[in-house]
Amino acid sequence: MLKRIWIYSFALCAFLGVSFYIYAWHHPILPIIPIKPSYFSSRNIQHGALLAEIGRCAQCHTRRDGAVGAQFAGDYQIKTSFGVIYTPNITPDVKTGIGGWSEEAFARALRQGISRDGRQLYAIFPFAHYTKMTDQDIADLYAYFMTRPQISQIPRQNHVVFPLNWRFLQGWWKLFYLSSGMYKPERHHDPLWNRGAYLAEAVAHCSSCHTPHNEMGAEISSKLYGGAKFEAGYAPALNAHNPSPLPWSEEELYHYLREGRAPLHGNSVRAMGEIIHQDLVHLPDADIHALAHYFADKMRRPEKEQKVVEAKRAFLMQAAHQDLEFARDGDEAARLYQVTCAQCHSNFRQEALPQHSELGLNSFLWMDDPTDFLQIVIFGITSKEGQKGVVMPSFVHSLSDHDIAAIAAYLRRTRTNLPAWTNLEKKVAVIRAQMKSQTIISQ
Amino acid sequence: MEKDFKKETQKQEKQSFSLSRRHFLMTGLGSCLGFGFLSKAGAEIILPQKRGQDFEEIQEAGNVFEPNLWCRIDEEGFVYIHLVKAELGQHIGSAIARLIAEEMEADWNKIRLVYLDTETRFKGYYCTKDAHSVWESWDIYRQAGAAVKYMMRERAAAIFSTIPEKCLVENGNVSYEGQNLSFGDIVKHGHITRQISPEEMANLPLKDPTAYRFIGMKLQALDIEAKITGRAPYSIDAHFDDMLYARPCLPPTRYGAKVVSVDDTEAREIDGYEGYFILEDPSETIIGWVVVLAHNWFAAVKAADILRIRWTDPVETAVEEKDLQEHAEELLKDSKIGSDIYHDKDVEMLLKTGDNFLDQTYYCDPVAHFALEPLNVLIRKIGDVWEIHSGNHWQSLALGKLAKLLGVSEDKIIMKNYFVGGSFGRKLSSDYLIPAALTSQLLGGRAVKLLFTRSDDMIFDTLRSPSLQRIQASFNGDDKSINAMRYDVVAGWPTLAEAPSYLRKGVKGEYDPASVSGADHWYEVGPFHLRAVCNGLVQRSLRPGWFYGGASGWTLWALESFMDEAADLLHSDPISFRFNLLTGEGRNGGVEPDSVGGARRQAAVLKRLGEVIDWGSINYKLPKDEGIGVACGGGESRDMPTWCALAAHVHVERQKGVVRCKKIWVVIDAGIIIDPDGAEAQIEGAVLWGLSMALFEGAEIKDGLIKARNLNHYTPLRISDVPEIHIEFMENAHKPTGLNGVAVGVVAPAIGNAIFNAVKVRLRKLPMNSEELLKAFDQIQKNKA
Amino acid sequence: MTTSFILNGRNVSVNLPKDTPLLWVLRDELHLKGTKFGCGIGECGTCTIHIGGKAARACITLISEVEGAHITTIEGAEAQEEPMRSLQAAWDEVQVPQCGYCQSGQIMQAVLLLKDNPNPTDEEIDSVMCGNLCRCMAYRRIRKAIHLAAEKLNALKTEKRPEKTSPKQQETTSQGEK
Repeated sequence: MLKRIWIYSFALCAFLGVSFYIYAWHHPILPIIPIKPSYFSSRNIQHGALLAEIGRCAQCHTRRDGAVGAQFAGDYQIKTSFGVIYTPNITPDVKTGIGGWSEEAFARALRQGISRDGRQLYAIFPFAHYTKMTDQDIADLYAYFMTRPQISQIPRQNHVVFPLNWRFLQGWWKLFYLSSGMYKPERHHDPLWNRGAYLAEAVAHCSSCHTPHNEMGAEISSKLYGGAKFEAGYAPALNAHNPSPLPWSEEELYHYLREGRAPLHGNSVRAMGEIIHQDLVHLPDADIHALAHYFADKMRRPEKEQKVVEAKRAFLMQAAHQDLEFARDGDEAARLYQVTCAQCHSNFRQEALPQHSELGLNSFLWMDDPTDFLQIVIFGITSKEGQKGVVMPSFVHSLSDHDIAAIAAYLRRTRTNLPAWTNLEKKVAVIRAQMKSQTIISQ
Repeated sequence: MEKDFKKETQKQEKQSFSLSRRHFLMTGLGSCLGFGFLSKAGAEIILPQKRGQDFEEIQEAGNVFEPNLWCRIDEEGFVYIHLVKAELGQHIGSAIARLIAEEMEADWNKIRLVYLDTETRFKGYYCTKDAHSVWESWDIYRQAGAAVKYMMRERAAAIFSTIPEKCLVENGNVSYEGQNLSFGDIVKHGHITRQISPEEMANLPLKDPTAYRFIGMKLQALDIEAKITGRAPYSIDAHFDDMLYARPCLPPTRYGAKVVSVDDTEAREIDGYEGYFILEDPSETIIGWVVVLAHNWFAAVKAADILRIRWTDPVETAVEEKDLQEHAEELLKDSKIGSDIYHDKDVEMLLKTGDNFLDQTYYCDPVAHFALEPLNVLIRKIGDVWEIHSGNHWQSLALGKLAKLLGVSEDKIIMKNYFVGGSFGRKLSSDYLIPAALTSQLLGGRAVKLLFTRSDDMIFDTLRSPSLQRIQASFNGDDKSINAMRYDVVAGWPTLAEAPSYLRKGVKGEYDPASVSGADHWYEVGPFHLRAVCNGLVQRSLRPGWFYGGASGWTLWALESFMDEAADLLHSDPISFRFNLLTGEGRNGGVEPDSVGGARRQAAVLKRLGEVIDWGSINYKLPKDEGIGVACGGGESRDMPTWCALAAHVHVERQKGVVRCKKIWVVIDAGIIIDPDGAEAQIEGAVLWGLSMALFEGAEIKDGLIKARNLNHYTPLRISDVPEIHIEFMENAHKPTGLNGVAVGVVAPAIGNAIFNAVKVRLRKLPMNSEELLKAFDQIQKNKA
Repeated sequence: MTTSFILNGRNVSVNLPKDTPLLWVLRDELHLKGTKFGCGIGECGTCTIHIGGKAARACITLISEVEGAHITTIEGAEAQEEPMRSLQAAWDEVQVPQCGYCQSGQIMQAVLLLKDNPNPTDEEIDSVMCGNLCRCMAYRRIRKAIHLAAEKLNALKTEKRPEKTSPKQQETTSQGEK
């Protein structure tokens, strides 16, 4: 009896395994003779370039650790919980890049995550988003890549844990998490919304950072745009759970995405600053409007919150008035805030100052984790990150861990009704230690 | 050897001191009459310059006539006024210019200020200190102006072929029967051969105060323009292309630690790093110093941070605040030591008799100067002459010390005159010049710019000494007078550390006025015993420094707190109690012309203050936990008293122990006010300094150094802490006295007295921070229980 | 590291370690000495300059942060632009400075204060100017001069209003930094 069960089980497993293997198996597509760049029209190439910018292809296909590699030549190091992956070369080099890829092979990679030779690609490659692109956009992207300089470079060896280093197992992942196919416009939304959704979902893959991932590294669809940790910081929620005290208007989102300027929320910084000033900058105005329109809708809050928001707004616009009183009363943190930060952030107008608004409005102050807030105080904001040309100095050399923690705690205490941040001083020390320049400057 | 060095230095200081103000005059008249004087030894600071104009571009037009040492006039009629004083924020140039321009009958629009460097020609006493400048210049510059007027009129009369008496001098112009000659025209004509001896000059008639056009009038100061356009020259701005930048690595304590070893392996990685020197100072002003050199200052800053230096362990000098206080208490108990300024008969006996007796002790924390321009020196040797760019404003003292150190005569050193970016007494000391001089000397005279970071500046500050004071008095209960007083002041002696030859003789021993002045008050207290004791531990560990407001910053705090405590004890009103003691008898009668009127003038400002604040009823009108307190005094010194009376209105927040000052009223008698607006600015500054030291400052000492190193922990008063201020000057025709810092001393006691009136808590430690106040409230609770 | 920026309207390039504070670049490399050094930790305000039309403490702003930025120092702000013109006139009239060392910073900060808030109250002046230490304690006059400058500016505005094109011009001058 037992033996029989064993046999059946084994047979079932074998059957499932074989069926799965057949499911996960894809035929290689034969290499082509490299296409001459002159074959592609410059219009297509240009549009492809734009898509590559928004899709941030260069970001993950250019080496940055140790040496800086040639653009698109791959070998970019990605550390995941499953191991270290080095991205492939996507220049049109025949031997080491995608020079031998037909457009069909290229499209299959974007739509299904399958390499030209039939191997499964790891899902860290956001084909779950690219699959939604239109045929024309994929063709343009192809035109763009096939006309890049050929660079011969083989990426370093991946170190992925067993058994995930069996690439065919990626098929399982796709079975559960990939719904292949072009973006389908939602009828009950206007064309502007749908254009924004297409750009955000298909090309720019915003949710890769702004949506929490499950253990399998897939976005949790029920928590779309729910906010997630990424790298050293946090990508805030872009749905109704957005942490900002005041809601984002479409207009402010537009200015934010166009110029990095958001007086009621805080200007763009770090990764988002880079996206805005290096990538989105290439998008035409209409597309930025589309994105703003789409996300304003995503972040729309229930009507009933309106009163709460108004009260918050009124309170925050007046927050600067209490600081002096606290400082005069000998509150050390208030005094420190007053002499260090207030000259820029004192907001006495009824609207937010255009360049350096009241810190209570800043989304970072309202996040559960203080890391992002502290990073800004420690690293500052360069002229290239936020509103162009506006600089917030780095306080890394001038304020002690204790001072920075005191200011953060003070602002959280006087501006928000949220629980106090804990262990601030330690967290400051950790971030400070990450600072590459280890120079100590006494003044 | 070292002892000899010190002795010699002292002797030299003595000599330069004996070259009194008169010396300028004598030298000047002896050597510089007539034409041909042109001095261009480097760019002098000349004000005012037009927008976009550099100081170097201001030049005399044509021939220059130098009637005496104090000014010169060019062919365009510009009057260049020669100033040996330093510009520290008191607009001293404009104030002195008023004196000379007034008597000269000059055109104010043709006044230029020349800030002189020390040079052979102007051998004399260069020192800007103790609010003395106007007071010192009052006679000389007015006489010099009168002489110019005399000469101009005489020469013009010759040109007009008439007698001088028929010519009118007005607004830089001499006129006679419709003909006009400007001062510039007269200079163009040349041939001024008239000489005036000092005696003649002293006898020239001076204007009647009612005819003043400049003195006491509102005029724009000539240094403002440069200061609001960023072009005012401070020594930190001095620059030579080939100079090396230096930053000190300061030892773990001011004295007592010597360098054992230095390792610059890591520092050598820094781009621009040049090297380091271990300095050996024969005068022992600095000990255990290493100086880091680099091609830009930031490299020097970084290198100094990572230089690995081992020092010997300082033992005695690694003091805590507690040690200094305990030492002071021991010294206080030992009645055999110290110097007596006054020691009248029978004080000790009379203290034991009388209806009431009060014995109180007061303690003050050290305070940092925190001049906004950190200490800096640029030094170089050109030929055989050393040039010092430092903002130091006791140049004569520095010259003596540097001459000895560099092994040259004083005329081989030029101290350049600069605007000083705040000093408050710090840049009177030459201690910070020495390391720069030693470094440049090691480099054969190469230009070296030694610039302190803020924390270096704080660590190396010559703090205002901590002080301990005890006042005892016995009283006559009937007429509420004082039978006798004994007053002991234990503090560091800055003058002993920096310029010991300037100590004063008391009735017993020598003492430092900079540590006790103000305790020699103007009240009638019967026989008086005033003793000054030097706190040697402060001397050995901290090196106390001269300070804004002088010793009055702590003596008046104790004395005026004590006066209110005594009035309270005797159930007397604080103002009338004081008023009755300001009788102006005996030694308190004052001396012509400097302290004429004596204590009666202090009584007068106090009386006026009472009227201004409506003292009789105001305390009853105040809400709960608010109070008004008063204090008065004779400024910084008995030699040149400036009479002040001040009232402060405070609110005390009991839960947090926070004191907020809401308003301050102050009445000042400084004789004739030369520059009313400038005078008000000086008083504003002094009042706020006093407030800052009463409530916001106070330096904790840890391991022999100040604990707070920068503004994140040292918290001086800011704009948001400024109360309403009402300032009034008494009008009279007495000789002008100083204004810089004179009102500092009366602020803290007025605040302390106001706190007492508000919440019946007496604080006897300065600063009066929340810790002290909460402690006092606690004590009251305990006493009640 | 080479950094380029626009200083007082001119293109400037410097080659310095990236952690060099801007203050020392301005003072020692470019010889603009009007911007002073006070505390080095951004808490005394004496090194206040404008970056991108915003007040910034040059002593803690690193050279690596200002690539491409528009920087104005007291020397560059001497132009006849408002509110600087009115501020300097008010400063002169009120005789604000004592030692003068903090004044460049005070004025540069006050310019931005008036741009953000053309009619500040005492409270608002205190809050913004609180980071600018004046050790001579000329605070009362700083307040007074800022109020006076605001008055002067308001008078200018009412004077100009009747003219046709003036409102827009004012708009651009008062935000000229952008």
